[in-house]
Amino acid sequence: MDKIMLNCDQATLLATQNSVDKIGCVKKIQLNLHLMGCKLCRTFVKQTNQITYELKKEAEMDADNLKLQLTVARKQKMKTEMEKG
Amino acid sequence: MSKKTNTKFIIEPDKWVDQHGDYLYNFAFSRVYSKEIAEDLVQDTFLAGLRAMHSFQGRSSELTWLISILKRKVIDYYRKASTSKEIVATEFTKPFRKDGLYEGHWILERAPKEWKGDLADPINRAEFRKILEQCLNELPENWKAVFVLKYIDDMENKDICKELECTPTNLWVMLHRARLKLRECIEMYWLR
Repeated sequence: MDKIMLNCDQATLLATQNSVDKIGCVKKIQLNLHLMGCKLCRTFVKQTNQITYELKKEAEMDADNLKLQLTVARKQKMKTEMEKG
Repeated sequence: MSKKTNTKFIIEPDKWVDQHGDYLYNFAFSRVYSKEIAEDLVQDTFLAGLRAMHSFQGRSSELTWLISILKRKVIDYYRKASTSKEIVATEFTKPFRKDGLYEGHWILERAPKEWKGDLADPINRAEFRKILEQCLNELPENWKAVFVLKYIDDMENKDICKELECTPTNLWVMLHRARLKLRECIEMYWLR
């Protein structure tokens, strides 16, 4: 039974692997079986998916709407360094 | 300082800072989550671009070309930060029971709680992202590196391992622990 039923440590690791790689049929079934019976791990999956989503959204670049700006001074420093090099 | 390459494409480094500085800066920040480091990486990118001007063949735009240099700089930064001997070992332990009948189960005090608040609401989203940034910076550099390179750049495991000098098993261990620590940190700030 130990080998079939995952504990939460194993399940969350599998969930992480599943979020970025293929884990194969058997592991997928094991993971889903565990998640069906474990609200805590379901919550973990939901929350980590949210984190990934927000992270990726933050990394999307919209050239017309850049959040951060270099200061004039910093830009000048870059130009000066470029003139040296 | 305009220069024509021999394939007739014009490259204009004296316009780079003004035309592309902010874009590169935002790109760098979204990978390293530190303004200082992002600024340095942008500067390094421009300097590297100057040295490599002759190799620009106009197949992509100047910006795309500069971004590819910046991406390399980000990886170099993370490689140095991850393999440096001064890495501070984190005291983070996984939130699972280590032994007994319930080995591998969540330690209840550290188990996920429901997060209130709809993230579609811009105010909540802004707050969440601030917390996300804070918590990312609380990760050890090598965990942060793996997390960013995997989730934002979709780098293949073998390539990450080559750069950061880890084994595939190490990588999963780091990614797993990074996610656990990150989630726990975010929850702590979010539920305050």
